[in-house]
This record gives sequence, C-alpha cells and structure tokens, in this order.
Amino acid sequence: MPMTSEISVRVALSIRARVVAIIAFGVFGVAFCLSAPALASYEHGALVVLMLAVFSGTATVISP
Amino acid sequence: MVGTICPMVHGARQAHQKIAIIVTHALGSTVGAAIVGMIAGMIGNMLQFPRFGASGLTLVAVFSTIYALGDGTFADLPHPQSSLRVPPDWRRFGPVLAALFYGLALGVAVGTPIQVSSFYIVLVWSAALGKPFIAAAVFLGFGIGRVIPILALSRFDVSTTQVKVNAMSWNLDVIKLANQCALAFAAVVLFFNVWSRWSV
Repeated sequence: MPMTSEISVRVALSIRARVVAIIAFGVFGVAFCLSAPALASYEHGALVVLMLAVFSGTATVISP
Repeated sequence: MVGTICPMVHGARQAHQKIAIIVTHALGSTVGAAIVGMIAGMIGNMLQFPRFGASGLTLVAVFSTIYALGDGTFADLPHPQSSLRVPPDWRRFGPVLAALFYGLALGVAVGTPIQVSSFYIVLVWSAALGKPFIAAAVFLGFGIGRVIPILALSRFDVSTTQVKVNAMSWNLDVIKLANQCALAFAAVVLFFNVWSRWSV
C-alpha cells in the first residue's frame, strides 16, 4: 500500500516545454488585447491584475 | 495552510460550525488582503506615483516580463518573503476565532511565505496605480483565491482531503510554470496598456 506522498505524481518539465508554454500564454495575451481591447485596458489592466491576484492567492495556499 | 484550516473544518461537529469556520476564514482572508491593497495604493498615492503616468505601468510590465521569463527557468530571481509562520497557539481561541485570525494574517500575506512572484507584481501595480480603493478591490481577489482551495477541499472527508492536499501540492515546478504563464499573459496586457496610453 503506497503512502499518500508516493501516490503524488512528479512531472519533470524541460526548459523547452516551459518556454513554449510561456510564449503560448504571451500570444494568448496578444489575442486577448486585440479581441477585447476595452477589457484589456480597463483601469490600466485592473482585470488582468485581478486575475493575477486570484491566481497568486490560490497558488500560495496549494504550494508545498 | 490548507492543511491547517481543513482539519479545523473537519473537526467541527456540527454543520453550522463548519460553515462558520469557512465563512470567518474567508472574511478574514479577504479583509486582510483588501487592507494590504489599500495600503499599497495609499503609499503609491502619497509618493505621487500616478504622476509618472505610463512609466509606472511600464515598470510593472517589465518586472512581469522578467519574472515570466526568468523565474526558475533561466535564473533564480529574488523572492522577498518571510519564513515566519502563523502562530499555532491561536487555536486556543476556538476554531471560529482562530479561523478568522488565520484568515486575517494570511490574507495580509506580507510577512508570510509567498512562493509565487505574481503576488509582488500585484503589489507593485497597486502602488504604481496609486488608487487605494481600486487596489483594495483587486487585492480582494488574492483573499478569494486563498479561500477557493479550502472551500473546495472542505467538501471531502478527512482522508480524501489529505490525499487531495498532497496531490495539489505535489509539484512546485508546475505551480511556478503556471505562475510564469500568468505573468507572461499579464505582461502583454500591461504593455498593451502602456502602448494605448502613449498612442492616444
């Protein structure tokens, strides 16, 4: 019977995979700005910073 | 923290006490976060950062780009954080009050361990904007984000929760990559804001 810590999956992420993912989200950002400029520029990017705030809150709690 | 509040929720014998623990923790977390946002906005306002116009926003966008590209991929960038932990003896106040105090202390976040750099981008943006109420509203998102996993995990029984807590915190690398992706997205949007302000 494995311990719970042994059940957890570990993923090794290569630098290439990281860079591809980061660039993909950058491109997604460009698409967002072009498709919804009013949302993107609302109060100096407040909506995207709100998204960052929610993410950082969740990530802080689930970080080991 | 998810490993502390969830057992407190599970330790509650009655349903209404469980709800009270979650609600007070959520309240403390959001209020604490909003206070930090308001203070950051007030400091930015007092130092007259809004006078710098698009330059402040450019600085935030540059920081966001640096941390999106560099953090853990090409370099280990500095993460100003404290190793202080919330005092475990706050539990003596009882589960509901302890949940409120833990929520407040962790919602404030400054002075607690913060693994992800996106928090600091939000902090710098709030100061650069110099608008306390908007910064407080944005920081409410941090408090809400902290509560979401606790809310989600509190639905399960104790043993399932322990497995899920372990599964969620299984790999800091994946969390950091998600952080970098979010920062890349934010950096592009912030640069778009700078460009749109200059092009008007």
